[in-house]
Amino acid sequence: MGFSRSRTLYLVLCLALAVLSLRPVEPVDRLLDVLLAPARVFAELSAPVGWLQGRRARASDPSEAGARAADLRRYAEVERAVLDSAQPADPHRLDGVGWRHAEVVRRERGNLDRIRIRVDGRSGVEPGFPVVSADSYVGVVVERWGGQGDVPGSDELVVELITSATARIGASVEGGELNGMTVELSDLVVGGLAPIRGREYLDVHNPERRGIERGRVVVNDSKELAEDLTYLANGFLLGELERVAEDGKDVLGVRPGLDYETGLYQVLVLCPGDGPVGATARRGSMLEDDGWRRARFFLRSEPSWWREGRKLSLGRIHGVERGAAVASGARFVGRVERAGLTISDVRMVGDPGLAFAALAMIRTPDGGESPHVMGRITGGGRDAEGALRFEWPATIEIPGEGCVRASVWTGSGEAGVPRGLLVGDAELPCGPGPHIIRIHQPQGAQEPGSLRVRVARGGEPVP
Amino acid sequence: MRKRWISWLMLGVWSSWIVAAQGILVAQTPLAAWLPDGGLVLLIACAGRFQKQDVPGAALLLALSRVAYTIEPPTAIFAAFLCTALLVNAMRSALEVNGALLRTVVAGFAGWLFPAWLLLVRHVRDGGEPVALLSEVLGLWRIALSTALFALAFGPVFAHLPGLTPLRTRRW
Repeated sequence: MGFSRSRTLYLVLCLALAVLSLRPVEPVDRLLDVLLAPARVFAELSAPVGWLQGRRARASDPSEAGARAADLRRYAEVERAVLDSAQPADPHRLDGVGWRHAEVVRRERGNLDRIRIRVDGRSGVEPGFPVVSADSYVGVVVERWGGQGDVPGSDELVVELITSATARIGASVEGGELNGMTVELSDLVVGGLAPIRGREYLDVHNPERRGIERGRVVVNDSKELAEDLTYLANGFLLGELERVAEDGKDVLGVRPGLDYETGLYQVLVLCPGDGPVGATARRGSMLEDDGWRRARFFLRSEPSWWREGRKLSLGRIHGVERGAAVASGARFVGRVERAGLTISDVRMVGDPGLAFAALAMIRTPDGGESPHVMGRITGGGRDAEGALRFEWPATIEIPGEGCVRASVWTGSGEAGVPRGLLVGDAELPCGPGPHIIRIHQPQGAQEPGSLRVRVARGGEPVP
Repeated sequence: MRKRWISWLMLGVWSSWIVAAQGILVAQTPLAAWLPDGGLVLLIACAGRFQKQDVPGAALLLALSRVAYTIEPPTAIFAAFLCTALLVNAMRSALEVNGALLRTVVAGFAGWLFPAWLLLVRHVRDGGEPVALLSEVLGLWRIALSTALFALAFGPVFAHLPGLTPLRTRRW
């Protein structure tokens, strides 16, 4: 009887573990992290075996230090271009409008229509101020986040995107087509997502001319009627008006000029005034701030050959959170998949399924570099030559034909992953996606030397 | 009693080293897909030779040492190791699990099922394409074959690793 009962319990345990493997439950995972704390002892036992792997590179090694300095110099060159990517192509568009630079730092949990942005010195920025990115309208500031003073997130603002079901903004169609004739200007209201499957379209409400076919849609809100200060964004792009057949009906939608889901990195908050207001821009590099902690891998290997993972010597008690970036100098090494109590699992950049926001710096014919927001790219492992394979949705495509050469960096907007970590060099295909791209890492990147991990402050992962 | 504790300790050390060595070989050879799963062979050897009441404990210990080296979800590792131990333990009542043929077949089967299970877990968690999973699972025959052959050649060695004598059943 006793044997039968214990066997039943054993089977129930196996079944429960199998279900939890496929459908993880966070509180159970947290409990397991505590129970598995002794696993660190086993990891430490690997030291004699680890000697077989040879000496690790150290930060003080001349080659390591040289590569690190070269990467930092390379990033310094692109840093200004990245920050300037928030500015509209036509600088006169900001004439007579005040603005403050901000960076997207994370998504609101469980709400894709809200982002959090960080503005240096948020005084003077109020709910109701519109937010733009380059030439496109993004949304409106709806609330301040968190506490005061040095509390983590106290300099963050919540922005409701134009994709939100409750968002509405007055707009005009420029150069629209109606019955084959060009219409100079036609008003409508834009906000929320249109009921169109397969691609993201902004919804159109109360068009002045119902038969309008296509055209360029820009913000045109009335100063007298608007509840917010959204009229400050007049002239900024919402997208291209299109008529799409859906379930036998013609649906009018605006194909946005932005990837609202994963492609928002640098933005401007528009405010009353003229020109840059207060602290003009966030110029400090996050590669050098105090949000990092030195770490090491126990072994530079993973017993499952189809994975590329490592065990990190730090855990939650050291401030490591799920999603945190691991870097070597200015190079992106991977992300923390599971933060245990004293050790963490790191998905390396070559691990299939690893996803992060990316930014391409496209080489221009004049020898310069211009930023292109790639959105979220998802890893597909390595090919036979050791190059990284990634699936790139290319929601915002690179115009033209053929391929362009570019360096790929981490973008903004994902908690725990700062912008400006180098992934590698790639040839990016032009035209609409999705594309499979190959990224070649810098020499020595597969054996990273001195490591750092992004740590949380006050329970909030830093960007 | 003290000897048994030392044996458990030794089992932890051996399993750690075997899994760590497997990881290093995976990282350093281009034929990683052909490498046998040493940790799994040790589990099957232990489940076949240890006293029956010690088998679940051995499975837990081996799973814990595996968890210390891999980024696969701990729940998936524990589920797989406990199920394998249960299967081998149940087979022992009726069959000669330590015989060369059965040991090889069980190791080959486990050597295919274990990575297939881990791939399934990763695909479900990442939201991957079922077609991609199928092609990956079909490609696991190499690890299944090498694990089977490894168990055939080294299964008895693993069951007789130094320090494990107090945990082995006496009828062997």
